[in-house]
Amino acid sequence: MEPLIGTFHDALTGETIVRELTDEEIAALPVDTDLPNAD
Amino acid sequence: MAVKTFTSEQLTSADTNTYLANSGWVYVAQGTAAPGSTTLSIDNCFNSTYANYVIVYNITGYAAGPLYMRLRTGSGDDSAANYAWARNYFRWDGGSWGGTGSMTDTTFTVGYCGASVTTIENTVNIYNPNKAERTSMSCNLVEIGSATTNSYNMIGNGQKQALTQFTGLSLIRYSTNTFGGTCTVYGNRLG
Repeated sequence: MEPLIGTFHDALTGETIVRELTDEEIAALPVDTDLPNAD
Repeated sequence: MAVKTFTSEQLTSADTNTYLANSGWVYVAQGTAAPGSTTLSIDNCFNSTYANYVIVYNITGYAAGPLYMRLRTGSGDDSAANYAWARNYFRWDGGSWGGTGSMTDTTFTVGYCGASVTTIENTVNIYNPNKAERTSMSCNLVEIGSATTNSYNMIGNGQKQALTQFTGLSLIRYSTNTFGGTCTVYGNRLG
């Protein structure tokens, strides 16, 4: 499986980090309760 | 600030500074998602300087489906199932309309990508995210598909059912989608 990438920007420092999501972050990704419109 | 009518061609530094200090929406931050991102998080964009914020995002490289948003504290998303939201929708050809909502979701839905397109552009209003009050949001969503029969106008509202002082936000993909693009945060000057 492709690694899941997240982009993290800090408004205080202006720093942007692109990294793989942690296992904890992956586990917390939302379940798709809001589905695309069916029409 | 009282409205001032200039009567000369000279704009003083004092007047300029006054207008800058009372200029309404103020740029706070912009995050740029690397193409292929699952999430785009902006930390430390909410604080006591402003009460209300506007989030403007331009998502690229997306596939059909919703785009989610969560609020953050520190450097972590709040994924508690107390995001309350609802929206109504109207299909462009008038063929269907209705609404849906939840009191116990783990996200707000703040955008939709329609069939045959790869971008979402939208503005989300966020109220009181950094106060120890419930944080509310409102947004106008448009899902533009390949025809009037799969394109929609939508209006969404929501409230985070917690008294948390949030300091950031995340945009989060649907299903296996990924995205690039930008998300810009503006604060509304208090007075």
